[in-house]
Amino acid sequence: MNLLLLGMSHRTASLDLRERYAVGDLGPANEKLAADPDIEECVILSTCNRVEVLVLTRRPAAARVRLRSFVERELPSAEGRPSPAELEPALYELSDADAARHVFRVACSVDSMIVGEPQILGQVKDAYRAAVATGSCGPILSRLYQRAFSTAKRVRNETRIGERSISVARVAVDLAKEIFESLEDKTALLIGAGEMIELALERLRSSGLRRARIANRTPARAAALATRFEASAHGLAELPELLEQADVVLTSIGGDGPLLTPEVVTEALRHRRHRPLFMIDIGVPRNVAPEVNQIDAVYLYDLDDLSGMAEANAGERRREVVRAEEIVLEEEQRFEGWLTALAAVPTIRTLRARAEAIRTAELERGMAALDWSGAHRDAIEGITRGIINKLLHAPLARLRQEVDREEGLAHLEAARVLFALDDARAPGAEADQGDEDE
Amino acid sequence: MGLLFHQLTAAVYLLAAVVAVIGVVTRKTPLGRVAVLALGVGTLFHFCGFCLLHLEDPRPSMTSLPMALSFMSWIGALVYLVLLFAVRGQGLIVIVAPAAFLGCVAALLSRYSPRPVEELHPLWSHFHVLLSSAGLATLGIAAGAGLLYVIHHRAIKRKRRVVRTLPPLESLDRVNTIALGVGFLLLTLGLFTGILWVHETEGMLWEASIHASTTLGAWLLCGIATFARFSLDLGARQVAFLSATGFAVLAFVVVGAGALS
Repeated sequence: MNLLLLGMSHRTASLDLRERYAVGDLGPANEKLAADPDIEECVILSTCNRVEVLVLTRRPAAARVRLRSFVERELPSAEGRPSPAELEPALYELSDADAARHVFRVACSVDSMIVGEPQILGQVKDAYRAAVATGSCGPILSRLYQRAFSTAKRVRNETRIGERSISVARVAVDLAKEIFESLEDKTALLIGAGEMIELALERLRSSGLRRARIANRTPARAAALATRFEASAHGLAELPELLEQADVVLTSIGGDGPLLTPEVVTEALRHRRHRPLFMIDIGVPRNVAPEVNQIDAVYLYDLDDLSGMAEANAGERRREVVRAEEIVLEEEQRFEGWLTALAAVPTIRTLRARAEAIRTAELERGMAALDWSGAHRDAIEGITRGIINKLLHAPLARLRQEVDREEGLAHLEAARVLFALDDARAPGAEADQGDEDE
Repeated sequence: MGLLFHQLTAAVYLLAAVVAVIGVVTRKTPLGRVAVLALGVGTLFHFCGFCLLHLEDPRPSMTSLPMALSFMSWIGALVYLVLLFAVRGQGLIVIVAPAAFLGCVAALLSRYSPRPVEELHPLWSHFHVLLSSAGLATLGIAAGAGLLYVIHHRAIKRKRRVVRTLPPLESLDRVNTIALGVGFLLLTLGLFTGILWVHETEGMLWEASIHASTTLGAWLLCGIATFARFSLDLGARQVAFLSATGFAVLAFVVVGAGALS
């Protein structure tokens, strides 16, 4: 079994490229990839900062070709498909232990644009759930993700990476303070009603902001959030009027093209008497056209800009990241051990099946000669089963224990030779077919 | 004694300037507070220096350029400290403290020689110099805020945080607006008292000197900036730029004309 991961992130790809790869509905994409015979299991992760496809395969060479074609041709929309020259430097490919470790690092927020930010764990969980729902995530990737979630929890508990995280909301507030004297008399306009908007609103509120307006495509969701934060809820149709009153605009909403164009913003500014307008666009694809930053009184920051801000503070968190990396490595090695132990399963299963087949065959022969039945038969069944179990217990336990060590694989091989498990003519071999069918 | 206090003032202003610059370079906000405190102490010494000079010579001539510069630096520092009560403008110290130091040093380096008393009108000349110097100093604050506004605006636009210790743009704009309005008013009053002074001494309303004509030109420039800010609804960046340019021209003509005369 091999793990393969192909993806791009804020480290390798520009926002412009990433937004062409934003996958709105993960279900169909998972189904499409999992339908390939070379792919056993798969999970697709799509956030504003990364798009990654993880697959489990028995045929890595064929799966790699399929994975590449999927990422290059099927994942982006037809009109947004980048050229190979543009795409190639942005892609990274990891396999086996490296891929597993990467999944752990992502879930722990070590690889995040804003290290330690808590949203990524929720996004990874969503990606996992989507894969489970479509049936593309099987037992092995499930185990990997469960282990990644518990590692993320451990990292959060045992390090101060979370405390030192600089969330998007915090960066937004810090930047707002470079423009505005105080947020108390300012009005914030939040476009969208997702988790990021909720966190940003929480942060803005704690920084003294009093007036907030929430605009969303689904007004009911905006209303629910507005009730919690004593804000007002609006539909997207009201955006031009809302923009005139806003001082801080934070957008994180799905959609195909920019919601706020230079024309819309310029029109709003005409009624604002040149009051500065601070805009943070964390939507992927972008909700605000980048040209808006050219307007004099508008300060527009998108995800890539925020990445630069986060980098500036990287030194403060380096120590916590080192500790988190140690935990990630430890947990990844445990997972590797489990994965290797899986190799012992077919041997153990075959050995048990052979022993059981021999026992049953010998018992039948003996019973026919003795003409015993009823209670006698049950007693003999129990005795023979006990003998087999006791005889096999120690070697099988040893095989399970040792399989993740180097000599463990030699023991596994020895077991197969000594018990002639690969010999189809050996006693009890007829049971192998039935076992495989199970 | 007055001279000694002036030297002391210059030393304290220098300390404030150095601390303020270190604060900006190392991005340590507490150093900014120390610099403001030092500037406050400096203005007290400066005031004591003026009082002592007054005791030594009951009518110290403010018409001498070095003394006027010294007075301007004191008023500028004072206006800045007063503005701090209303606006988050601590970061402006990086411009105010060095300017105050330079103004004070200019007075120290020149030889102060009072003009004969009969040359001066005790009332209008003093009013003229006091109001004009105060106006210039306040416009200097507006120009400093404008300059920092332009720098900070560019840094935020270009997504650079090299000047994190600077005041927020909104504060700089407010300082610029208030100082521009007050400064222009003081300068206008200075110009008006100047006319009265000329009228009393020369018997005419306007004298054809370099000082008078260049000051009038600079006054017009500042007037345009003020008008643009309050009436034309010009953008903050444009006004910041205009006020910085206006002050540069004003300072150049006043100092230049002063040096020539």
